[in-house]
Amino acid sequence: MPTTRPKKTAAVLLAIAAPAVVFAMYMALIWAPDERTLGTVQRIFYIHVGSAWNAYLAFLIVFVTSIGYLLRRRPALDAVAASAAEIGILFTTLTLATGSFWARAVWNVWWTWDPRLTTTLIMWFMYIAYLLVRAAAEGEERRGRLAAVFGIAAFATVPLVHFSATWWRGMHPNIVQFQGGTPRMNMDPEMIVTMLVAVAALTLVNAALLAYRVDLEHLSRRVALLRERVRLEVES
Amino acid sequence: MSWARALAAIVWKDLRLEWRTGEAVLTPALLALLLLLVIVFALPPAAARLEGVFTASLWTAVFFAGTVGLGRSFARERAEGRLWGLLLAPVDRSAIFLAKGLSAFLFLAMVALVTMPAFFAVFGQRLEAPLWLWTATVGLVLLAYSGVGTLVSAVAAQLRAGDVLYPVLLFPLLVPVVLAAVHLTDALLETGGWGTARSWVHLLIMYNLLFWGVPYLIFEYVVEV
Repeated sequence: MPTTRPKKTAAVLLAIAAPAVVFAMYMALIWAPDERTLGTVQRIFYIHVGSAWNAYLAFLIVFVTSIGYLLRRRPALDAVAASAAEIGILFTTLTLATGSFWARAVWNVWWTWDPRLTTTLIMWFMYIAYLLVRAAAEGEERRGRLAAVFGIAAFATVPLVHFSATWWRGMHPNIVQFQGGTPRMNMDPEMIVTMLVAVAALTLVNAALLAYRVDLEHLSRRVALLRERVRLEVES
Repeated sequence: MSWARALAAIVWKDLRLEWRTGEAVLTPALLALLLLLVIVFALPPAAARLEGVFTASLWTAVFFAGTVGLGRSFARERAEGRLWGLLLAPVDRSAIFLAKGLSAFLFLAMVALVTMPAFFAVFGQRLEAPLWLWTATVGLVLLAYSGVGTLVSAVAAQLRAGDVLYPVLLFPLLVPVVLAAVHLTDALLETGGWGTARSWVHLLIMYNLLFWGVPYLIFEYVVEV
């Protein structure tokens, strides 16, 4: 029986992600200029966009690994999907929370049934349901298969969230606008840089979390196997 | 056996089973009518006349009542190894999904046919829009509902306590369809046409393509033994 070695990838990613986040926080909270009308509360935006992007990314990982699992049936792919779904829910929660704080300051309400907000909440529920499928399925093979099917279907909510702000014209700000096909950002260049740094830093956090969570998933599966073996030996 | 004949055979089986048990039409239709009573009693008398209350009540009842029948769509096949019989049939498995989806659609349409007149009567609502446009809108909504509902039903049937989980798994996927239904029928009652709500038709069409197309492709994996 091989002994457990701490996986290097996760530790290395964390070592890069931690200072990157500190640096991004410095840029977002101190370096970036104040927004003209919203003032300092606009700085939530950097974490908000970073979280939203990472929620999308995590759910994209669920989608891709789910397809991969159905085609190849590698338990490792299923482990990645399970882990990414949890991380996606975490980032969606962060997106909703930071958005809510911002809305309290700018719109004077914690929540409003704007299309973007509503679809994001639906997406959040969707992946909670995904975790419910995992919890309620019996047997590793069946759990992986049903979760993969659900993970593919659930991804339908992601483009819905993203395009909701353009399709239904709610009150959620839309920073990237298209003029004759070319994207245009209605932002100060320093703000754009800060946003990109925040997105990059949180993506590193995402990667580190994923690496740790996948290790944990493999560990817990090994524990389940060991327990099964012990049970068999005790019984025989 | 050809693909089309297999499809027709499964739909026919479902219809006959329904005729004998009343599980997928009668029970949901009764539930929808009961919900109508509950809603009308719960609303303050003046509120029932407010714009939008009618469609919100109508669709809440139809969607909730629908879960009772749809949730059983595959659970029924699990009992006594009936799904094995279906899986052993030498036909493409996509036919099984299409057939189950199609019978789910027929059942939902029957439920709507029974409950909608009752809602119009009790709320004293007049239909100004042409009947064919109303029917087409409702048809598009129920088609999307049955596509999503059949896929989730197939997944839930294989889970522990799947019957209980079914609505919880279904509704996050279904909320956009509910919103589209409410907005479109609201527009129909107010203006007699889709008007500015037209973008919701696009969403419904997209949903239909997605949730009839994707399950069609991956259904083999859903029902593996």
